[in-house]
Amino acid sequence: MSGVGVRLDAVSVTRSGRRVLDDVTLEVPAGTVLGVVGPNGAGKSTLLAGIAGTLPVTSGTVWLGERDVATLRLRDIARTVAWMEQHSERDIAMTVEEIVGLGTFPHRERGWSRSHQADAVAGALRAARAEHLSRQAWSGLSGGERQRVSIARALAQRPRVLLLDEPTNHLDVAAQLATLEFVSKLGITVIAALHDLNHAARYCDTVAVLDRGSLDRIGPQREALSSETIARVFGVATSILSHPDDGRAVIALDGHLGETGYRA
Amino acid sequence: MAASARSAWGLSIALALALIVSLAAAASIGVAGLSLSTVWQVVLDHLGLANAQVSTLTDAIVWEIRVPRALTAAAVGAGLAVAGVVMQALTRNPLADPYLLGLSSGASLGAVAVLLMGLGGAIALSVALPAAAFVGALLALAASLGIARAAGAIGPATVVLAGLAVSQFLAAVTSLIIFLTAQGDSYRQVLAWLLGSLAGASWTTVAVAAVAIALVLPLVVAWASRLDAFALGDTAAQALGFSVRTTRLVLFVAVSLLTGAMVSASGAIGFVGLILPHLVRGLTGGIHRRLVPAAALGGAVFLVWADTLARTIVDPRELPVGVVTAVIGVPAFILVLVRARRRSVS
Repeated sequence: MSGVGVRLDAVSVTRSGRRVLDDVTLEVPAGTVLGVVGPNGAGKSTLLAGIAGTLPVTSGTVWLGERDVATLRLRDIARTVAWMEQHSERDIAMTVEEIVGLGTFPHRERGWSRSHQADAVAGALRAARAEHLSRQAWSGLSGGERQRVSIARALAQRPRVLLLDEPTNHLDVAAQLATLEFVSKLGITVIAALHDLNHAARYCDTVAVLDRGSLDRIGPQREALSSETIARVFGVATSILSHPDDGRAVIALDGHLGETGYRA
Repeated sequence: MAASARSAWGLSIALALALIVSLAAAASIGVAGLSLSTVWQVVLDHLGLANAQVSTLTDAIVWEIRVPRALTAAAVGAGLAVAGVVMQALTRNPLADPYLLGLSSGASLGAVAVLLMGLGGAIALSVALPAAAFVGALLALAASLGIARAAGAIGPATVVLAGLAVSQFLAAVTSLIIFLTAQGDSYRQVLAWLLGSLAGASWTTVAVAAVAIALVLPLVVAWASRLDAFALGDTAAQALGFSVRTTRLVLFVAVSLLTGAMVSASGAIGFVGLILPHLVRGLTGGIHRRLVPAAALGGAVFLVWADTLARTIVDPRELPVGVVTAVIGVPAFILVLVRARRRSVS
């Protein structure tokens, strides 16, 4: 599997009169990992939905490689772009194989046989290292296992772009790191909305900082996640340290900068 | 998966056989005790396959009363179970069914309104009744979704609450209209429409229910994978490559058609659409390609027996069949509630 590049040209989204995404231009080279950070309501999910074509953009263009998303059918987008939802607390009366099997939906057409389906599911489970779960019921899985199965479901779509909306929510620390480490090494283009700035710093090639619908900064982790940017956008004081092993930025949270914060 | 798929098909085949046996049994159980062989003779005679030596009365009891009644029960049971499966998938709410979303009450109101307008001949009525029930169901659905949207979101809890309100309101309006306009035996009419009864079953009701199923079931089966995908959530489902909004809207309308037809045939029978999907899902799993046929067959068998009980248990009077389905359905409903609660706590 290889990635396909994603480009946003002056993309804006207006929802019930409010501009939730405002003139965002950015480029994600094929096969790289982009982390999207920003406070709640900054437009992270809207950005992902615009790329997935599930939410039409009001103006501007989203490019998947050379193709304009607005001109594609949902089915064609789904053959290139997979969406992985947050860890789901929801109970679904299906087995792991059945859930992963849903991922082949956009590829099913005349001639898609039972053996095509079985091969696609087995391949996706193998790629996500979840073969051992295949016959289990979804309802009996742990949070980390569910996330692993969701990855397999996304991979069954044979995507070249993977979108993740806060993939680490509700997971314990080990499962958070396992999820991010795994998707960042897939070799396809990954765009992840993330809450934890250190996750963005550790696993992403590029970080985009959104603030109230606008792109505040985009660049390599150390450039995008400066103390000044974080203070301005998130309202928290930080010290940027260097990891002793690889020198990557580690963001130490010092305190809240707002009126109720103790450093105000 | 292969094993569970096989056992799911085994279940459907077993249910299909059970349905044939149930229909035969229902046609022979009743005040006028008829043997199975007499019933078969009459049926084969009418199909032109045998020459039955039975009285005109026996022939009429079997062919004009019991057979259409059993077939109507089967069709209505199947239709309500399928409507319930679809509603639960679309709203991702295990407690959803046509009754909770107000469809049945809307359909009842539509049917009662037509009856009381006193449209002319029987043929006009046989078209107008299901049509009015369909329109009533559609308006009730629109009201439920509209209220839910006005209250914030089409979230599962809001939809059920809005549906409950619409359902109760329309049921009250139906009762009111009947009490204000009908003469004489209005209590029984109210009960028949609001609790459901198959006493009015005829070959016309068989045709109405069968046509609705023939129209809606193929669509539901063709979109079985879409229904599966709804379990992932709206965005993840749409990211698989189909329009969630269009699918939901088309299926809501299809379910309104189904419910309208069922109610015009039998009044608002509750709980079949709620409980059957759960019972069958426990056996087939949640993959709709297997769940939908099994639920249809299970609903058919269930309602055939519920109606047989309803018309024989307090002989010579007849219980509304909705009483029987509620007596069985309420404890099952409570079980579902308690289990859902337990899951959300743990």
